Amino acid sequence: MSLSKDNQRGDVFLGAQATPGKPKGLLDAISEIQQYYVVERSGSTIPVDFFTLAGKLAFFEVGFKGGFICGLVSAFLTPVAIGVIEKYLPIFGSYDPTLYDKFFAFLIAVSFTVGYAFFFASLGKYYIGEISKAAIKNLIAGLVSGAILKFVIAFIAFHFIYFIVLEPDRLGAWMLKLTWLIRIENLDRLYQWLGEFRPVFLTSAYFVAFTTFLMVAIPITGIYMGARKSSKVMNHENEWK
Amino acid sequence: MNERRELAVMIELILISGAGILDTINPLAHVSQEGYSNLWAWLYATFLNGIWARIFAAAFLAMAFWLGVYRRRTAMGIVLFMMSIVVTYMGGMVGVMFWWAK
Repeated sequence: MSLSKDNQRGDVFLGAQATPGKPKGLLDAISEIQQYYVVERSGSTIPVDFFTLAGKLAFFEVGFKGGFICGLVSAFLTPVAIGVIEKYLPIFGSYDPTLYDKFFAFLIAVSFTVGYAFFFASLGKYYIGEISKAAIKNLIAGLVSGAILKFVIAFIAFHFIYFIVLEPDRLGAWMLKLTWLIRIENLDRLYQWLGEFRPVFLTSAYFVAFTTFLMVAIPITGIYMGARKSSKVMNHENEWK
Repeated sequence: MNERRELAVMIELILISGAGILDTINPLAHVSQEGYSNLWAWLYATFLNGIWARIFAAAFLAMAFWLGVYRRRTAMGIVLFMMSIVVTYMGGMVGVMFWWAK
C-alpha cells in the first residue's frame, strides 16, 4: 500500500511490488530494466538499497546463463563452419563452396552470438538512473562471466578432441572395435576423413576466442553508445524546460 | 460371458479400423514408388540444394534477426535460426547418408 504524493485528496491506491523482482529469463530482465527506466526517467529517485543482493544475483544469473548457453551453440557450430571453409563438410549439398557459401557458413557460426549480443546492446537506452545502471551492470557482468567460462570449456574441449580423442593410434584402436557394426571400407574412409578433419578443432579453439570477444564487445559498446545518446536527449530536454 | 464377447468384438473393430488408418497414411497406397522417390528428389533439389537452399537459408536467417533481435520475439528467432541451419547443412547430411549407404 502506498500513498500518492501528487494526490492532494489523500486517496490511497494499491501500489506495485515494493522490492525489485527476480527475473527468470532475459525478457523478464529487460522488462524489469524498462520499468526502472520509466520510473527514473520521470525524475523519481529510487534508493540504491532498493536493488537487493538477491536482485543483483538474479540479474547476474540471467546474464550468465545467456552468455554460456548462447556461447555453446556458437562453439558447436564453429568446427562445422571451418569444416565447410576447409572443404571437409558439405554446405547446400556441395563440397565445393562458393565465396557466398563460405561467408554464409561463417555467418551462421557467429550469428547466434551476434544476435544475442545485439539483444543486450539494446539496453544502452535504459542506462540512466542508479537502479537501471546497477541492473544492467549485473546483467552484463553475468554475460561476460558466462562467455569466458564457455570459452575456457570450448578451448579445453577442442584441444582434448585434437590431442586425445582423434590421436591416430587411439582412434584406430577405437574404430577397430566397431568392425561388427560398420563395414571395414566405411571405417577406413571415416578414419581418413577424421584424420584430415582433426586440425579443424585447433582452428576452432582460437576462432571461439574471436566469437567470445564479439559477445563481450558488442553489448558493452552498444550500452556505452546508447547511454550517451539517452544522456544527450535528456540534456536537450532539460535545456528546453 | 456376453459382455466379454462384446468387448472382444469392440477390440477387434478398433484394430481393424486402426489397420485401415495405417493403410491410409501409407504414401505408397496413393502414389507409385517411383513417383514417391521423385517427390523426395524434387524436395531435396528445391529446398536443400543449390540456389533455392541458399535463398531460403538467407531468408530464414534474416527473419531470425528481424524477429529475434529487433522485434524481441526470441522463441520465433530461435526457431527460424534452427530452420536456417537445417536448410544449410541438411542437404550435405542427406548426401553423406547416400554416400554411406553405397
